[in-house]
Amino acid sequence: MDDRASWHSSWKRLALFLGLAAMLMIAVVAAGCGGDDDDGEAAPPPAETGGGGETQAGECSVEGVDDDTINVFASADVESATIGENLSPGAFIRMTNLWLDQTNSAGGILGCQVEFVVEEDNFDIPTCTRLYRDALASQKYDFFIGPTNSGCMAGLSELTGAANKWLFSGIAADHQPFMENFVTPYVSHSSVSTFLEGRTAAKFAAEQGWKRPALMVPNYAYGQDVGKGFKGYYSQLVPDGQVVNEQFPEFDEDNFTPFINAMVGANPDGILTAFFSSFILPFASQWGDSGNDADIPVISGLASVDAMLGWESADAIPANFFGYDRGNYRLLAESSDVGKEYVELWEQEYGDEYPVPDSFTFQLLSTWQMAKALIEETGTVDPEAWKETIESGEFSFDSPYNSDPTFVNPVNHMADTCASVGEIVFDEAQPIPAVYDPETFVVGCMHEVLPMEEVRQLTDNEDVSDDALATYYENAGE
Amino acid sequence: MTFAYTLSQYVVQIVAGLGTGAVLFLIASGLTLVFGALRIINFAHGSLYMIGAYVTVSLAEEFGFGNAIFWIVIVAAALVVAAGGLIMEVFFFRPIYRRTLLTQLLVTFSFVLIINGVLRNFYGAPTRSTDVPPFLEGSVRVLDGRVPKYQFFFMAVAVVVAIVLWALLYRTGLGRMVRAAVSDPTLLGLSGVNVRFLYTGVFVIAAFFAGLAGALTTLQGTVSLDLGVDAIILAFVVVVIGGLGSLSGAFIAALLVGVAQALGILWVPQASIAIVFAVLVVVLAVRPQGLRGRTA
Repeated sequence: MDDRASWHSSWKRLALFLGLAAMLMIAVVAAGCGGDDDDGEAAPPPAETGGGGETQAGECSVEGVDDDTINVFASADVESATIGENLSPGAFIRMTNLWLDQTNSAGGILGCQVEFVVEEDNFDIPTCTRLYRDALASQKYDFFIGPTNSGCMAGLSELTGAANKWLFSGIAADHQPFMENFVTPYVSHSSVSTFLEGRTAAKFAAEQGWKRPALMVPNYAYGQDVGKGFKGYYSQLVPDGQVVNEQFPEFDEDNFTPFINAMVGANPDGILTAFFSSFILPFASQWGDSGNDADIPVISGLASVDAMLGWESADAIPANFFGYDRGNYRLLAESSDVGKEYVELWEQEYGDEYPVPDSFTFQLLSTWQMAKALIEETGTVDPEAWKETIESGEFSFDSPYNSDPTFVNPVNHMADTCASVGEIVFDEAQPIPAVYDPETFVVGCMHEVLPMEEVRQLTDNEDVSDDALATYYENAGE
Repeated sequence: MTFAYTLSQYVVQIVAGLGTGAVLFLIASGLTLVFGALRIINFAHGSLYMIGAYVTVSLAEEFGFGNAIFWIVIVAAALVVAAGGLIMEVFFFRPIYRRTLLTQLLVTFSFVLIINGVLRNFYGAPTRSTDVPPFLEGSVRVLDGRVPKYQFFFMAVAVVVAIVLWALLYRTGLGRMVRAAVSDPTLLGLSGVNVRFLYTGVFVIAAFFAGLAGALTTLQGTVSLDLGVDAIILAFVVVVIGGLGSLSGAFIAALLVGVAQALGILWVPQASIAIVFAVLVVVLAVRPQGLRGRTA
């Protein structure tokens, strides 16, 4: 090759390299830019949600807090809204902002303002884990709230525990840090867990007389936990019952026909699936098309607002189609003062654009209420003090889930929240027509579905006395 | 692991698997054509399939998905993807045909990221879905079971596409040239054929069918940003099992993979996808060039 050809070849290579680099840059920028809402408005910002309103003068008296501000961190898929706009942290940030406004304008917690920082993790586990690691390393935050992503939550408690920080599981519903391996003491679960959802579904199945249920739980932490919760409790409630088939589709499976055929072939008298949000819709559509819905009832999973929005007519909802809910706004507005207060605040603030608060939002509300109660009771953000308080068996807080104070199990640090299973119907009188029929709700609360005799079989916590455990059950059961 | 199922269950499951395989063939047909003629492993092919799905969702939201409109929408979506494929090929892929495999992989993978980012910008991350046109609603009874009507529609489309592609390859001048390109691209170039136009044509055809597959997939589920990646993995499995560059191989392999996956759901629900990869391993062990591929 002569010099001129060599020179041309070099420039071509350089041009190709620069072109590739430019394309990669475009890819990074395009992937990093957020999407807009359908109506063209920007999604809720992921940045600090410090709350507003006028603050009252008052000295911040919480021990361990710097700069008179209680700093809290979480990561979540805010703008990507992978799990649905009404279910996503865009929704929980809306509820959080309501809580922060109410709390900070009333003087904060023991005189300390609360600031909450959320960072976008795009529902990606490595990203989520890195964000928490970085946040822990910054030593800026007083406690942490868990991420949206269940797979990330599973490993987080070890990180936060090692850094002597408290971690609330308020977003991801999973209960792994609380059962089987109680790997760190500085965790608590303040909302409805997958364990509770599964066990409430089992309660429903038992009450409906199911003897041959089939399960289809996605191959994902959330789904697996619901399935385990169901099976464990179902076998207690229906000793002569038997799970006749189990399927494990991928989390984002689209073609359910082979799975439906495999399940139906085992002649079940009921089916539990554990999808959530709009991921339920393809299954619902194909289940209806299969023609089996007339004969076999299905608990479809967590049919949140985003799933409900996908059903635009009564025909779109299969017959005998149920779901579990981790805080139905109609139920909570009637059953608790906190629920009523925040449903009304939501309607005033967001009602035009987001007519109803999804159950997901109440998870965070409960978390904030629990955190506030812990700080007020102990006067500190020291996790050891919080642990001691919870493990006394007497700690309670005002959650949206109960009309009375919500107690916390001292052994597994899980609040006595309640889930419900109800039929999904089409009611054009409602802001979103596809709704749970409240007349059909079967409610399960933690103190009921996890009997005292079973607690220590699931969670190893030698720091809690039998008396403390008995105190919790006595209080929660009243 | 259990094999204790009735004949009816097996038949229904196989039928369901054929439906899955039909969509896989639509995706893999383009991929194998592109590899066979252009010698390029196009990672972005799954993204073209995804674009077809999203465009279909947009068109369906705008115009509805009634019986007549349905046909127009799916063809329009496929044409949009074909147009996109034309732009991709002319401006970005042409310079890399003679480049190293690594360069080709980088460029095609870049498009996966770019397309994903653009779609996320445009549609956001939440899943989208369409209705099913009235004539495809409901299910068909197969022995004691039922299979959604659209699964049979997928099979019918796959057969039609297979016939069309076969006719194109074996009954047209263009097809002769494509087959020649698969066999010996150098000789083809020396024989005076405008190889550039040929390559563009093949790429556009492949993109069209990827878009069509994406349009059809909206019938069975939601559309999300994971669609492309999920599809390309199985599409590559199909192409490798069938033999790189072999259309008939892709057809057989697609059906085989679909049925294997469906039977895996019956036999080993915890690891049904492993059955598919087990088939891949067995085929490669017994016949490394694939079922219908040529030895080197």
